[in-house]
Amino acid sequence: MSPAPRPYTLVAELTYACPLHCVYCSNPIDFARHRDLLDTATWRRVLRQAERLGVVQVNFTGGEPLLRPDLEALVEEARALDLYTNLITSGLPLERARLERLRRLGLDNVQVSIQDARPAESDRIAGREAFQRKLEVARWVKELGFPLTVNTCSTARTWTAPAR
Amino acid sequence: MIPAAARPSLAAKARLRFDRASGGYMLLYPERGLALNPTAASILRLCNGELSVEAIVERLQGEYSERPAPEMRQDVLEFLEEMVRRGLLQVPA
Repeated sequence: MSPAPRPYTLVAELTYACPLHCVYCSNPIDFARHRDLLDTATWRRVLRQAERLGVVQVNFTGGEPLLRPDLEALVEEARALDLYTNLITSGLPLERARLERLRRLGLDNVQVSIQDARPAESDRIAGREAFQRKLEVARWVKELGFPLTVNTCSTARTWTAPAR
Repeated sequence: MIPAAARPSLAAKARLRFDRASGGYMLLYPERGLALNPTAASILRLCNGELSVEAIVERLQGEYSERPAPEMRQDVLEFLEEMVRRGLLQVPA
């Protein structure tokens, strides 16, 4: 008998707000229509329900999940449920002290988006100056002992000049 | 080839965890996970960076006494090498 189907991963889109405006993003930009975010208590409940359904891994994403002041509380809840906890971020609103705090709370992995290996092209795609900040955040991630994942969208533009 | 004196440990990104839905162990890492069979879980639980491969084989002999030691050493080494190849296990030189 095969085991009952179950979900393994919860992708938690905590907010649509984001400091980047990447040209290819599917995130809605008419935030006014999406103002009613789930509150902390509701997300906690969702995490607990997900774990009961069999979920073992949660990806906190958005938008930019760091724009939620309750991210720490949600990471803490996820780790209390023993979920593998992953933060998917642009890196922009991050301070080193906050990353240290998230580390202490048990965050397992950090994914930083980098739009292109070439700084100018990366900033052009992101719609603002961001590349150097992202490199700095990536360095903190490594210094604090996190595993680092770099997220890059493959497009015709980024493929024509691969990273050297 | 992993030397018998090497002390393997899980990669920083990998977390071994009991899965109450299946009653088995899982090895979780970014956006992925492996549902481990009981023997794989027995081996990885001993990969704590303190036990050598030789010590791990010895411990497993207690649990799986029907498997002769040389064959078991071979089984364990093949599994550990596969885990290293996947980047889930580190073996300090």
